Amino acid sequence: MTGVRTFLRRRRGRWAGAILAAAMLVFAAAGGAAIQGCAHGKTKSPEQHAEAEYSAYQRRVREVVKDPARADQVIALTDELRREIDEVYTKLAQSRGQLQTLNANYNATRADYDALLKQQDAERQVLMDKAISVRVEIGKLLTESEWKSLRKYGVETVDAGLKALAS
Amino acid sequence: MLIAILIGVLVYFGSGHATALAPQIDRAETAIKKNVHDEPRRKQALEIIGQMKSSCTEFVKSRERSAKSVNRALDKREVTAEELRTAAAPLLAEEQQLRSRLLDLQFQLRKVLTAEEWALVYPKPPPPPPPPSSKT
Repeated sequence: MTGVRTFLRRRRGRWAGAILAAAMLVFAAAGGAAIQGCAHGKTKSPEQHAEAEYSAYQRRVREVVKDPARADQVIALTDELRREIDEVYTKLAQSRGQLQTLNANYNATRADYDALLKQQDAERQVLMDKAISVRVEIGKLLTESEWKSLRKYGVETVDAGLKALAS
Repeated sequence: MLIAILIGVLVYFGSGHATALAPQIDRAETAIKKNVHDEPRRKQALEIIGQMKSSCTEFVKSRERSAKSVNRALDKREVTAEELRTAAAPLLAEEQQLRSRLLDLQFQLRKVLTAEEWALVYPKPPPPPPPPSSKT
């Protein structure tokens, strides 16, 4: 989570707020209903909150997936997703920084933008492909009832989070 | 669920590219009103900024609608990679459209503003902080 923490420290303003919301959302959704159980009145940092939610999600996977081997596999894939998310935030910060630098250049050409955006699109495609692959693998590992038990965790939070990001 | 959100974040990653092409609207409007003294140019510049703002607002609305179809696909346990890519396609297309529109407007704005005025609308970003490993 170093990248996320570093990013959150570095960024300010509206976009940082949206990313913070997304970061919180990722782990809030992972923990789902466990969020309420974590609220003991003591304020946690976003990182601590994320860690707590992630631990809660792992516990929930072990409760739902009775086969320890499959539960291990699901958790391993979730760990992989976590690393992906970290990478996404780092890349997003870099990408926006590169675009802002180009924006500030009065003499920048359309070709300059095309080249940068092409490179950024390629990077995003790699991340998306990895994420999709992990998502499909997790679907295959779980039974329908396990999926339903885990799926309901965070669905509403996803919608809320998307709205927060879109605002 | 975690996976659903990851895809969402990845999609928003793209949105981040697109919206970064617009200036910070309030700051840009203030800078133009304060520093562009030539009335026709000022009016033209503010119109372009207004169009950028409208484009971003429209994009946010359509993105919300398109995100629902991504969520529906993600809700299916046995969704295939192809189905996920198909569901995400409208979102990505909308982002491409916004990017193209904002770039068009940005280049129109370059023709209206001087280099000095441009620097007030699109200021240089602060230098990136040193990598964590180099901190003492």
